[in-house]
Amino acid sequence: MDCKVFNNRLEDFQMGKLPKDMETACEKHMEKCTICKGLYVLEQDMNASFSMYFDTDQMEHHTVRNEVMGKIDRKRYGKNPAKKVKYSILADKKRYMTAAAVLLFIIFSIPFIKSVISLPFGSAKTSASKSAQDMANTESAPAVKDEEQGIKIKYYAVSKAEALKMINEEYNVTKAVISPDNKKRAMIYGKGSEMIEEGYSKIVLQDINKNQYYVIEMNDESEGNQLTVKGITWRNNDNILAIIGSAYGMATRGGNVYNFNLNTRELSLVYKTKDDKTEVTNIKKGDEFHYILNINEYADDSLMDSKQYQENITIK
Amino acid sequence: MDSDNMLVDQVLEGNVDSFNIIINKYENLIFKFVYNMIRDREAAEDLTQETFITVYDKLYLYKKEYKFINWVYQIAKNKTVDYVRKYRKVYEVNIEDSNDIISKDISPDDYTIYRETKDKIEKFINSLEDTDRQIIILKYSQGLTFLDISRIMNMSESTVKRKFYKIREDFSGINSEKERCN
Repeated sequence: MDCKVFNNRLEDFQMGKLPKDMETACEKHMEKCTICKGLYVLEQDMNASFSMYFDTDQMEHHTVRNEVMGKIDRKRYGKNPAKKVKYSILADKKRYMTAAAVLLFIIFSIPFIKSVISLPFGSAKTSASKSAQDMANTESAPAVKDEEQGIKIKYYAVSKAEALKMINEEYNVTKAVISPDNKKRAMIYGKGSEMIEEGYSKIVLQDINKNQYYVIEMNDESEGNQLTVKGITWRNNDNILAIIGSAYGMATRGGNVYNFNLNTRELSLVYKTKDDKTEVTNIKKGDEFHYILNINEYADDSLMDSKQYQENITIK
Repeated sequence: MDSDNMLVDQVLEGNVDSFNIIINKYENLIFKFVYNMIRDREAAEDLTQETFITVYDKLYLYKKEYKFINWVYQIAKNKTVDYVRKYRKVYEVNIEDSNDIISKDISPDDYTIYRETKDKIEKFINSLEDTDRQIIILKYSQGLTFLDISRIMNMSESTVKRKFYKIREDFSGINSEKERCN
């Protein structure tokens, strides 16, 4: 054995962890090498000194057993299943809390993810991955049905060519209204100023930046109702206020006011006229939440004579 | 002898006597460890008591993949560190208190040597940082392996070893790398 090996084995040698033959080799090396012997003695002394210093074996101290046993809650644990469940949950509190947080996140994310994936204006990814042509004719399922009026919603993408065909029928399409952020424009196809024949209309919606087109239908085609969109205005970038009234007949020009949310596809009634002889013919935005409604009120059921007036409403 | 895990299970089943056995088994070890950290017998007894009460209260948190006694050491260590912080108790050795430790049969010469060595160690221990002091105590007072110390101290085994040898080198003034013959 040389000094290097001896130094490497010194710790184990001192702790008596070496095999017998190695131990004998270390002892023999120390007989020959005074430096290693000195080091060994020094380290032995040091170990002995520290051990002596920390040795408290002869120190008397009071047992704490009685105090501890007197202070602990003896009924804290037990075979009761409720207690076991309680402590099992407490022991894995972090894991349960993480799982709960993840679950809550998923629950609250679902509506958002759903809207991002399915709504035309909700997702850049959807728009980017699907061309208007791809989306054309993929009629979305009616998302909302107004129970009171039976108005069914259809909201779907159309090809540019198809959209332009409608838009270019100038006599058959209303003037476009632009969203406050100038990113979308909407017009009603089937209710142009020169239209002679009445019927169901469609809102043609254009995403100006992406140059994509969509159609929104809000019709109640049930017998006796036959309602459709007759006028629109932007409430904000995601909501359109629509006047929905009688689809046929030249006598009536308006209807009730509904709010349509482009993201959630929810249609909700925001203003209902007092009776069937009264209708909203136009809606104009005032300041933030205020709107001015043009109202036409017929004198009687013959719908011959009518008076017009304005009414201010607040929509928040 | 009852294994620690078995005793723990029994306590969690509501058998308080098993906790009595646990205290009996480890009380001296914990007292010794705490005492060597603060060198105050009464405080060490109080902290030992607090340690076992906490061990009982938090027993449901003990993970069986770890050594039970290491978990108890951890609680004792944290309690002691809190105590030192709370009372701003500077680690100072009470000579009179320490005298109790040595045998009364010791000769005057040996006692002088003992006092000299002790003074030297005390001075050195007082100069150590908390972590280093805890490592030295766990090694010399409790005779634990580096692996156990690393578990108690929440550090790697190699870090514990490195720190331990560095402390000894600082004490002896021997740099093992430079001064040992090759």
